[in-house]
Amino acid sequence: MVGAGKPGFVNADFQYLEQAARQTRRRLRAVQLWQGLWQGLALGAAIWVGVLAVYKLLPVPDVWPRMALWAVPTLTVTGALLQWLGRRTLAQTVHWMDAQLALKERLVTAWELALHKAQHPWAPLVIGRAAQALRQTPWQRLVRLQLPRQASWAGALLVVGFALLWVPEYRTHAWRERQRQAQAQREAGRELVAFARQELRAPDLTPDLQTALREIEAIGRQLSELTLPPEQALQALAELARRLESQARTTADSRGTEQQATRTAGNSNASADSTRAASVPALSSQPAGERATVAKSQALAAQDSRLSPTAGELPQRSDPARSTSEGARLGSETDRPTASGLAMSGLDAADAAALTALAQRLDELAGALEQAGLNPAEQQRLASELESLLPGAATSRAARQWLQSALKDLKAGNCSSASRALSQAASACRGTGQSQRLLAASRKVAQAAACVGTGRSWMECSSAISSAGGSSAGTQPGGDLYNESLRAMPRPAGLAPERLVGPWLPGTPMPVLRTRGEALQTPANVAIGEVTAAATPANPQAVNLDRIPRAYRQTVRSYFDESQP
Amino acid sequence: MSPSELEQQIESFHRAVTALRAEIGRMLVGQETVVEQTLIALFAGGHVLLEGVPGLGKTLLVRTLAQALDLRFQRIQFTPDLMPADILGTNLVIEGPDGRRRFEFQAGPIFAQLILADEINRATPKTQSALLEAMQERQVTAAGERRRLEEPFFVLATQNPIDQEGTYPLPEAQLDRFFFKILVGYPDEAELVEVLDRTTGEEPEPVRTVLDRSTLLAHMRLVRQVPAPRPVKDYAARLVLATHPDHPSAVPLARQYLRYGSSPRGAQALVLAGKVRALLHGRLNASLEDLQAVAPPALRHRLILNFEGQAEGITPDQIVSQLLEQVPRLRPETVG
Repeated sequence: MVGAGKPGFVNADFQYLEQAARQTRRRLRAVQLWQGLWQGLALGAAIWVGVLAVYKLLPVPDVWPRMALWAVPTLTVTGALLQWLGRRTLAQTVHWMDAQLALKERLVTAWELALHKAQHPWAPLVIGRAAQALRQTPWQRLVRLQLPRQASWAGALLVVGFALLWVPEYRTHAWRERQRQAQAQREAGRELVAFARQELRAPDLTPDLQTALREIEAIGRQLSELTLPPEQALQALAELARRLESQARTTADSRGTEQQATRTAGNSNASADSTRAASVPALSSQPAGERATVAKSQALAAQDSRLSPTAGELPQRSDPARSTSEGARLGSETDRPTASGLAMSGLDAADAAALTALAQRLDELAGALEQAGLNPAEQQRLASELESLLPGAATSRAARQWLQSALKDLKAGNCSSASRALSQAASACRGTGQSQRLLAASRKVAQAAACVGTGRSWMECSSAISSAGGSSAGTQPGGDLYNESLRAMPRPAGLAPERLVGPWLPGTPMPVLRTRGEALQTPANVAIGEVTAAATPANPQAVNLDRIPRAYRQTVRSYFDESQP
Repeated sequence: MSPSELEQQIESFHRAVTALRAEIGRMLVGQETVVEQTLIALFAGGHVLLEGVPGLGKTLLVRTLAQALDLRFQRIQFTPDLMPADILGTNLVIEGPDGRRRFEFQAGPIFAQLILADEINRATPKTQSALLEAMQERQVTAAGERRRLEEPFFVLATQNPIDQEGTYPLPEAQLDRFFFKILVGYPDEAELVEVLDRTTGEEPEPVRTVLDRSTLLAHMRLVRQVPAPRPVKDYAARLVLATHPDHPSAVPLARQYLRYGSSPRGAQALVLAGKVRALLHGRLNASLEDLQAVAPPALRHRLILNFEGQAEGITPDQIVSQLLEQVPRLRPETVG
């Protein structure tokens, strides 16, 4: 009780005044909470509708309207809490009652006199008259819980906001293209990073391969974070793809040379020691599980390759024998696996993993043949296992030949020769696997370049690059993809290229396009200067057309700029 | 003082005011606002500057008031050749019965209780300034000697609008010492007819004295006891601060057209006048409404226009009106 301790004549009227002030303050607080809630809702709705309207008109980030939507409940709660926490003193409440009841500061004067100047000679008179005036007013009905003015605003804004949800966003075609391009680049980057990380987990990676994979991961990260402009990204990707394929070719060539030399030497020692069967008992217990493991890995690899084939890969996967024979045919001229042959065979990183597992198993078998003498039954079991491993080595012609040689030696009882042949087969598998990994990486990079260059999705580029890869006779990985994508672009009938000579890669010279067009049968009688002068003003407009992929515009622009008489 | 005694005093005050109004009303037609503001200044112990063109009853009002009050009255007609000594008094050489000559102070008309300074702006600033000390400190320094003036001491000055010929504007320091500056306007048609009736007919009865000096002093002490709550004082402070062009809370007109805002005397005048007005209206406390009612006469002569304001023809009353419109009556936390 605030007035406790005051003179009795003050207390009687002052208690009434104080009671009225306390009740009014309590009700005011509830009303403030109620009003704060609606004010917050109105403000939040206004923000949401504003941001939504901006989002519908301008290409602001998608997260803006979602965040603005969160402002509605947040501001509603905040507004209510702020109003609830904003306490007013009893003196302020009394003054507010004065203003509302038009009591001309009677109450607040009485309040001040009672609290601070109770001995003032005017205090009893002032307090008594204030209480009397208060009794004559309907102060109990002063504070009412009713919908504030902001409620109608909040409702209207929410209706407008929900209506706006059905209005489509206005976006320019150029903006959509940029978004598609950025999305494609981001997706390509993510795919490259995932691929590189997955490959880096594989065992037996050479330092070169690890370096290449880390480089892929780095460029993938840059792509996903959009820190590289498309033109620079394309140049970097093309360069990396070329380097990877070059490495693959180098690896395959060197491996083939080594194997050829070793095979020549190995044939001269064909009658080597046949007393190596000491490890057969161990093999007899192990092969069942090992063979199962190998078979399983092969099956898994095959399944994996079946699970994620692209549209273009399916025909190649459906006929592995044909692919293998084509690869073998390309390598038959030098009797070694070539990069082109490997590329033609359509192998990928999964096959490389299977080859690595196969090489490991072959090494174990060779070691077993070296160390233990084998009885005929065990030789027979081993031979049958080797026969079962033959399909797994189909992707490497050299490995298969070495396996067949080992099988022949084993059947002839020449365990030592068979062991060496198995080691060579394992080495061939590893080399092929290494080359295959590099090629797979090269293909991924080329696929990423295709995505960045054309703005298409990863899956679309995968289809395109797979379908184009089989017929690629050039030396640029993914080069045909660019050509394919260019061919797929709509052009006037007379300008569809009949033949493309040279790669179409960013950063490289323009390829020669031969179009059907109309041949000039007679000498021209218009000076070239006049022609170019007439065409020059139209060039920028032509270059700015959205039909030209963004990644190529600079190249095309430079081409036109340089074509001066 | 018991509540009943207080109520008796308040009742006595109301009777005195009613009697004064009645006597003034017998002589002066209309001008209720002018009369009320004059009475407010009178009970607040403040000086009044009445401004209006000749013939509107300014001098009549003061003369009637002087007659109704039992106070010593002096009238000083300000002219351009009036000298300070003519107001304050001077030492004269007096020859005594013994034939010796000595200086003797001859008091000027300022030594009265109710001074009518008629057409104060027709005197030179030097003469106008002779009133400064008397108005503020209720004393006069003449011939090196300080002499107290008798309480109560009121100066009711009249002046013609400053754009009239042969006028000298009052200096700011002089203006600030006036409690109120009251503008006397033209009567309306009905009032003018009444004026004609009264002045062209029989001589009216002389004004009766209705309030003696001691009662007036008691009433002056009473009105100062009227409580003014904190919100009212806050409002007065806000009003005065809003007249200062450099203050953050200044209203736009003040910011643009004022050179100087009101002095603290303006706030004092607001609250004191508010107290008197509350009591005049039967209330026991000053209110925001009282302050709003007395703000124009209390502030208008304390607002010094800048050149732009004078060139644009802005009047201080326009700025006061904006003050009353824009300065919040309640503090934001009270409004909630």
